[in-house]
Amino acid sequence: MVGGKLGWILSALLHISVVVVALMGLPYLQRPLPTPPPPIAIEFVQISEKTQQQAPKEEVKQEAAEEEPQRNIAAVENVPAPVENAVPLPDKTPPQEVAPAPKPEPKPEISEARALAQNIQPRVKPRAPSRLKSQRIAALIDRSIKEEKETVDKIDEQQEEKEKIEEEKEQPDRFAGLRGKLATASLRDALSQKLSGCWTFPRGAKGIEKMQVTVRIWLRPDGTLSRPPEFVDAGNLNDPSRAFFRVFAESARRAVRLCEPFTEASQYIGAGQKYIDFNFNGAEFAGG
Amino acid sequence: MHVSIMRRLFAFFIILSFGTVAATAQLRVDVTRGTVDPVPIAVPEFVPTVDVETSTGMLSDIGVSISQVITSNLVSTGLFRAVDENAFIEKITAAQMQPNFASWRPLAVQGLVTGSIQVLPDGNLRVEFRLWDVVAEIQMEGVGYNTPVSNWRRIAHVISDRIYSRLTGEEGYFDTRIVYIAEQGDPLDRKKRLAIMDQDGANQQLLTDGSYLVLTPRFSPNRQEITFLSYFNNQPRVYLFNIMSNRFEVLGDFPNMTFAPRFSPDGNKVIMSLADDGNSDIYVMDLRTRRVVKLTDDPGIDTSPSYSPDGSKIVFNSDRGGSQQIYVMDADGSNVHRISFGSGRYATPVWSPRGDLVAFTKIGEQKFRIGVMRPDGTGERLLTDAYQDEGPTWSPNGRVLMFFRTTRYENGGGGKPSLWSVDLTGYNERQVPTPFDASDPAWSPPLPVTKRR
Repeated sequence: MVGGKLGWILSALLHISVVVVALMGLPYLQRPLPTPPPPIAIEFVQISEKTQQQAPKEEVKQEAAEEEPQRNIAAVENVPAPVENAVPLPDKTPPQEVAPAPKPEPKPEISEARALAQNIQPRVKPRAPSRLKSQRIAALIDRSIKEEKETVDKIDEQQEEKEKIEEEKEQPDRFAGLRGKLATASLRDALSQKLSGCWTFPRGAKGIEKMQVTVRIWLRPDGTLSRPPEFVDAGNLNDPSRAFFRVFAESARRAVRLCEPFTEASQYIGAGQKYIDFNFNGAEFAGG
Repeated sequence: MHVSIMRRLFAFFIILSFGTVAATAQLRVDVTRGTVDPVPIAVPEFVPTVDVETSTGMLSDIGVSISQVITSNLVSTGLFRAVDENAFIEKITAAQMQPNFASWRPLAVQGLVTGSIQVLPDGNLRVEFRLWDVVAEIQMEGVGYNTPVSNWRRIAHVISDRIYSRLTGEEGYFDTRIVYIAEQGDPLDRKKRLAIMDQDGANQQLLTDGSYLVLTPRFSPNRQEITFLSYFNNQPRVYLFNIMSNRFEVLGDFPNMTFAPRFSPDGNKVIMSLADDGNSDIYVMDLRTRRVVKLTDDPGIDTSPSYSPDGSKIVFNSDRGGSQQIYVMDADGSNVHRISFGSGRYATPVWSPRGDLVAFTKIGEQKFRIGVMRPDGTGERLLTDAYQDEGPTWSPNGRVLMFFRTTRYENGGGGKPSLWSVDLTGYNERQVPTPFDASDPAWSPPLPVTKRR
């Protein structure tokens, strides 16, 4: 029984992958088509009336030129169809119906998940100590089993996902790192966006387009700085010949302090990371 | 059984995802954008240790004036914004102690300038200032100056320079002066006099009486000395004028000269355009030997030469290509090549003291506009867009351009020229106040500061 089910699962996976390849691949194969049409000229019709035999041939050729590429692809797809019984079904359906549908769907899922994952952050921490209480360990184990089942269902059913995440908020779960990973990209964007609002730099300084400096910050779980920010590999800032760079670097350091606290990074810090590097690049201030 | 397989499968995904977490490096955020809003600063009045009456008024009044001059200087750059003093929470005292940063941060102040003044036993004024980084809570600068009491305004400029330099990384330009042509009278019978003022428009002085025509003053890059063109017996004559000693000196009579010479960066040579048989070429003159060497020999009209700050190259104007364009050559006249290729004509190129840009007047689209480009001709930008802007001159730090703007005659402006300044990024265009119509500005190098403690 087990082997049979495994076979079913594997074959289902295989079929799904074939369908996915077909769905994803076909629209791309069709794309190059739209370009050919332009050369059609109405005047040819008039010419054809004068010389009856040649003209209609040319019209046919041009019309064919538009349709041919579509037929070619269809033909290619039809060839493998008779070989197996299972395969032709997806081949017939996909090109017109499904092409628009699959792409838009996955994106909102991811963004919702990310947004939810970010929302979880602050609530995860206060729960942490309760996990250590011996009385609740058994309950926690039970919960984790339930949770696994729920997350398995999550793969199948997308709507229930939101409810589960809400349930998971209440627990110090082991998926925080995973969601943190998912949120890292958006966290990076969010921090970059936030810093750009705090960073003020007198524009037009000489050589600013080539300047960059890295400021490292250490955070407490609440997002405040646990110690003064430091420059990474910035060299000697008191070198008189680097006056522009010193000002540049100091403006970056000010920006980091002005943006404090970094509450959005608290989950990231909670995941065991101690510090964040901000790389300030001055190309934007070259003037003009 | 089914559940166990699903669980294994799930565990596999979990391990996969944790693997990717472990593989990612330290979070590194790139910040490539920022604001160019003015940085908020606060300059509370400078506090006297003991308030006494001085030859130029109460010491406390001088303290207020100094902070006002500093504020006005810094704000005029367009890079800083002054926080209203009515919003100040902490009252700065003369005591030498760190300000309470917590009371400045709510005002969004990033730079705080505090100062104290006192009259020394010898009658001189001692002015001390400190510049604080309110955000980082550190002192960035702290300097004291001794000077005669009447000199308080210059000290305010010197302090402004110091603060500007510390906050922007480049030299300040507040302790400088502008020489220009003050114009008065009917357009057909214009009285033109040489005038000088502080860069902020204070201390206006007329240097000539207007009995003879004065044109195109130019500053020496390292001495308080100017050249200008005048007419003596209807012959163009070039004068040297030392501002500190008020002494005039005749450099020579140059028939067919229309612009005053410009100095070389070391101040020992002047470069100029002379017409010989109707053909203008570039010449250089050694001020010590008075020997003149011809640098260009082209049938085109070569005018308005200007040295690069290292003295190795010369930028000038020529119509050898058919229209007026900008060319660059080596200081010995070799290796001539054209750098301007835009539409329209280009005039009066001036090399920035910083060396990275050449300013010019662009003539086209029925307008005269001020622009800059790199010495290789790339990155051309127009900084102004008025009817007639011309004659750019650089601030000594190469950060600001001053020029004169003539209004359109028929629009009621009467074709009157006035002085304007603009930041090299094109922001912060401002009119410089002058008592008369003004044209042909020339910016001085920083004035010498003899005592710095």
